[in-house]
Amino acid sequence: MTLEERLNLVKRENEILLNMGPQHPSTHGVIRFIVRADGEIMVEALPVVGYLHRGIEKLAEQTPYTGFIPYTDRVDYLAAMFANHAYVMGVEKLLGIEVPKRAEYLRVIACELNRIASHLIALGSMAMDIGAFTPFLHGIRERELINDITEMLCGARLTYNYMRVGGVSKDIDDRIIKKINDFLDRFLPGFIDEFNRLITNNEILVKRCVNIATVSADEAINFGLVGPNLRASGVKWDLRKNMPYSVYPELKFEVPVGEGFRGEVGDSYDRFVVRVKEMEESARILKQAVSQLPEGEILAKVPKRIKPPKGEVYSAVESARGELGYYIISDGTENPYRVKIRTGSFSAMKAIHIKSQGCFIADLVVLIASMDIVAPEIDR
Amino acid sequence: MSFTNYLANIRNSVVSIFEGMAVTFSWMLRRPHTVQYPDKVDKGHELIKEGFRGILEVDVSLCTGCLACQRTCPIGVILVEVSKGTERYITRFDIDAAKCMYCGLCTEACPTNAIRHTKEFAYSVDDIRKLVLHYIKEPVKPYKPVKDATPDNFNAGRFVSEIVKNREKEYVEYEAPSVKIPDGGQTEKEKN
Repeated sequence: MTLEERLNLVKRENEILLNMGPQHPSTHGVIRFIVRADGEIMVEALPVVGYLHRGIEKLAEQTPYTGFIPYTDRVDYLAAMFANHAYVMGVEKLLGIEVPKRAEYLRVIACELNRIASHLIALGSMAMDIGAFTPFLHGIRERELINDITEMLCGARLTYNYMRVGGVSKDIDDRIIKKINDFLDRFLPGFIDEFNRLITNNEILVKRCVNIATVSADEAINFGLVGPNLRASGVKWDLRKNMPYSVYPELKFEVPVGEGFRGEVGDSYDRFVVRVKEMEESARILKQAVSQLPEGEILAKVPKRIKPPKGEVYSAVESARGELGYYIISDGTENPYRVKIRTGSFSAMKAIHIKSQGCFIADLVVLIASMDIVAPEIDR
Repeated sequence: MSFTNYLANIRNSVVSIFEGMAVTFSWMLRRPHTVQYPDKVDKGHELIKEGFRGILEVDVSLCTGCLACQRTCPIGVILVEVSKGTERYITRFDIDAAKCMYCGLCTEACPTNAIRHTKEFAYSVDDIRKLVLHYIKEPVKPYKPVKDATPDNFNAGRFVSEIVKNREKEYVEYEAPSVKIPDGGQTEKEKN
């Protein structure tokens, strides 16, 4: 059934059709929702995806293995490091390369910095959608310090292209380590406390988010939600713990889950608080990783022309938006035969469709923001 | 909802609003994080960190004509032409800065560090053709790698080339120089 047929079928008396997006400031990119509303109450909000489709998966088939790494940055521009990591891990599995310990630590450092930056944007923009503009600027300010660090680390502020098959592109030096330590000193607990005072404990935000779009644990698993959205529903599932990769088994950290901080388990406020707590854990991981950083090589011995043997592999990392997986099929040539990207935002769109039923129109904005949708990740 | 609950809600809201306001107000007394660009900073480069991946430049005197950068580029930004014959000449080295995505894969492939990133980041021009940077004016002999070369050999002449600086001047039609070689060799251009 096409979209138009479906809409004509269900449009009843007293219902209005409302078009939200693709150019709407609260939809976090070019996403479109067709809202069927009865007065202020939504019958459903139907997501329409595909406005940002660039065919990255198809481009992979015409690009050499190394040349595809810059493209993976564009899958999720707020957390590009994870896309890099998942892809190179897959190619390394195909080639059977052992990555040097120092490179693994550098990857973890880069990824956790990126996770903090991504969550700052997610929390700030959620507050902004609700009407509080100040927390967004506070988040952006801290993110700017992380951007400065990544600029020194890999030369770019947004599309990092930091990882290579077999390691990373640039080594860290004392200046950068000092900058990371300075950042961590002001971030934990100083900034987190200030941020909590500013917005997390703010009664207006709490009242807007509590008991809105509650996703129970069963529902979250059935929707295929991943990452902070799944953990906010009380499911303790983190790929860093459950399917360990890189050097995460050597680092100590907790996995924060939603406990119904003010209302039910799995409401929008839980998703907000879980992200705040995850930033704290990331800062703790960073502290350990920086102090344990071993000496050694940063790039393994890799042939100049990467030609993996025939085979297929799935590699996944815990990105800021949950499980980010690359399924790579190699046919023994210089280009991959097929690359499939599995992202967290796409499954969150289904959850938005179901959970919007019976909500107020004004709460749709909260629902979208609390799911931390990033448009290019939905469409690739 | 009882009456005491109602009052407690009001109290909580007022307290949390003033708490947030206190944070905001404290920032009025602290130093700002922003810089008044470009009024208060002479050059944007002062803010740019070492190792920033800006516009690409080529030191043609170091280029060996190996075409490694051209092969590595995922989107075909670089065009190098080398004449064939008894003596090789580099007759064209173009970089389309408008198309470049600054991934830095070409600089890693280069064996002599001839192609590298500058710290230039503001490159808006009124004509997009000006952003195709032509680095060869006269045919250049390829660089012969020195034995036991250190990175210092290649970094010696670090500069921001005139071609990157002059990109805002008037647009001039460019034609790659052709090489006539006495013993009957021909340039790749003439073959096509």
